[in-house]
Amino acid sequence: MIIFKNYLKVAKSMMGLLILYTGIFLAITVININVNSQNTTLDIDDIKVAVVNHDDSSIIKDFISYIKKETNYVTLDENEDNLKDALFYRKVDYIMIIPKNYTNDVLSNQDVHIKTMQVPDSYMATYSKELMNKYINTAITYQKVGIKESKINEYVKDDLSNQANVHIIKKTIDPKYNASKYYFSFSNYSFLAIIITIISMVITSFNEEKIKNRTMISPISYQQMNRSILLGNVTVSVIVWMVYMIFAFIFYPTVMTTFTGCLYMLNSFIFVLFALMLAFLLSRLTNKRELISGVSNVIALGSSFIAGAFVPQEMLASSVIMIAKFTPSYWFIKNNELIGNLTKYTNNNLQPIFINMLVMLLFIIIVYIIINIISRLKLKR
Amino acid sequence: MHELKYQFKILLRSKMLIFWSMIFPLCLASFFKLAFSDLLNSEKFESFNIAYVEASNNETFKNIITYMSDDDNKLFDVKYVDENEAKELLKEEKIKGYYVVGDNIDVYINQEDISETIMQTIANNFEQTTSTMKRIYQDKPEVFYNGIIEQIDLQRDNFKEEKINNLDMTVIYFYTLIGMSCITGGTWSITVTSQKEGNLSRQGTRLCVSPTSKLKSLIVGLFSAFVIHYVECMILLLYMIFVLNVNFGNQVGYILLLEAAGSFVGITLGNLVSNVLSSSKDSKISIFTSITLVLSFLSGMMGSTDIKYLISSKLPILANINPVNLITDALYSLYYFDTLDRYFSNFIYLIGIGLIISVISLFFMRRKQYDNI
Repeated sequence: MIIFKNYLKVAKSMMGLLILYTGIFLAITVININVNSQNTTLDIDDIKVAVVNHDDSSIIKDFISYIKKETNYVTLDENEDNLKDALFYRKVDYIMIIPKNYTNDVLSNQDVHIKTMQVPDSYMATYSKELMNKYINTAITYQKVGIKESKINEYVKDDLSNQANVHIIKKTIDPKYNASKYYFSFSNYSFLAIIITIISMVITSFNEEKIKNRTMISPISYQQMNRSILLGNVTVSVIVWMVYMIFAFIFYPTVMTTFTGCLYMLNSFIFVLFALMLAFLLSRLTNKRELISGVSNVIALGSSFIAGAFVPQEMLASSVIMIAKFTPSYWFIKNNELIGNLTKYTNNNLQPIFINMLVMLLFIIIVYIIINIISRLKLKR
Repeated sequence: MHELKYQFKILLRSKMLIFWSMIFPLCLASFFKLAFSDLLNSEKFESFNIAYVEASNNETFKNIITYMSDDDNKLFDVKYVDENEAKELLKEEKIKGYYVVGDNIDVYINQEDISETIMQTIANNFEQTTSTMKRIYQDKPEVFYNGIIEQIDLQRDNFKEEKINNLDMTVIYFYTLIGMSCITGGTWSITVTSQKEGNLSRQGTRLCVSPTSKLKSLIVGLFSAFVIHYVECMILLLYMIFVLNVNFGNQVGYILLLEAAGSFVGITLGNLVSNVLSSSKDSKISIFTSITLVLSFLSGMMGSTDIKYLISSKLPILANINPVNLITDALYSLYYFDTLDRYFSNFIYLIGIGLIISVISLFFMRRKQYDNI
């Protein structure tokens, strides 16, 4: 018990680390909630449009109020740098710069154009262009055939409200589930960084030459000591895991109280076990604290980048995915993806999830075997 | 000269420092490359498969679909099938969706995504055009006879795209990394100043009682830290340019100048932290690293480009005192803008910050005295 208590004492001194990482994690989660809460489908209100207007015809005026109402209108100062910045950071998809007398010039069949700024070949820009062209062309057509100006806007709006019937065969997923997916995948980074650092640091402090010699002559047996340390490891991991689960409940209460939530929790718990094993392995390999913090950072960041915690897996190059398959992070994140996409809890749907969990367990066993081999070798020496 | 040589030797022996200030950024840059290599492609169009089911004849719509699927403006490949076959294809996910075309158009899809949006937009477009034509026929039937209808072009393209190059947003991550690694140079100067301080190392104690000039030995130390760090930054830059093929624009000279200024700010910032705090070397380094991480986070590393944009548009002061952000923004302006104005304004801010920090830390340094150790 003494050792276990001591363990917790040392671990407690590293609370700052837990708070720091969790703080960053939560900040990014909050940003992600805002970014990813949109559906995957495109609608007119998803496109971000900005207008710089120099034409004062009533058609353009109506057009702008239509944009303001229907699209995600972005107000930007008319300043080259400002416009270009907004475009670069994807704050706007389509910038239109309407020249003077545009409407009149089009009506008199002149070859004039609205200047636009956009990401070349991007689908957002292509989609915006399609919708914007539709409005302007319809309005100008009405003007040409001689329909009263006051009626035009109403007519155009009425035309544009015509929609084809869309039938969705498969059920789509609630966006809340989508956001929870990112939360759990992102936790890959925090789990690895926090657990590896805390656990291996604590173990190294027990392994310091003088302290080790002191415990060796104490009446505590080697086994007792190991058991206490193991207990400490598990306690720390479970606490870290619980902190993240509590935040998951706070952020996504509707998701977490379903069976999906249970799967998420189970999945991340297995992953936490892996992180624990890895921490144990590292502390066996070296006693240098600085080296451990370096390696843990590289492992946490590296696996998060290549396995899809930061960038979704479907956006990674296939060669990168091949490498990622050799890390449990890949299976953990893939599972989060599958769990988040679950619509029905049938055997067929659940099977791949459990298989991925088994793969993670396999990794744990492999690390465990390596630890044992190393301990043997060390004892022999 | 003599002192300089030994200072180099001492510094180069600290492997941990080299790891954090050079190997670690190199690893990060490689991870960025791996993660972002396919990102830009995901914004682009790719053609997909659809099916067309004819419930009753609708020549106009069929023409539109044929037009959209020919090789010049390929949006999708079309198969003309009956409804059952289309259902089967959709189930097996061989097609993204299908049209059932009669007087009205129905779109059948598996899930809502980009291809669905395109299919829907085309169908909507058709319905809307039909509605417009019907209305004109009702209100002004005469235009169909007097030739005005010939002048109508509902497919006119009103827009002309201004060519804008270099819109690859992922470069920002590499730029922040360079910014961060410049500032990380502070860990070198913390090491140097710790050597010079009486309460932190034996050498420092000896140095304090020796009759040599403290300022001179400090300047020599900081200078060698600067040189080592600058070389590291250049290695990182070369690695990014030649191994990872990151696009930096064509003005390498300006980038090297910027890195020198960045390293200078990093070194002075480390010196300041070292002089203000009176704790051990390790805790100084960890506090300094946390500061760098926060600065990098605010500059858009770690996927936080939204935050960077928010700060520069709403709180420009914060953007202008954050050296990591200044370096990132300067690199970005070299890459994206044609003029150098923005680069120079960032550069001047950066140098200004460096000088202010130097003065402050000099002020703190002068007050250090030890009654006993």
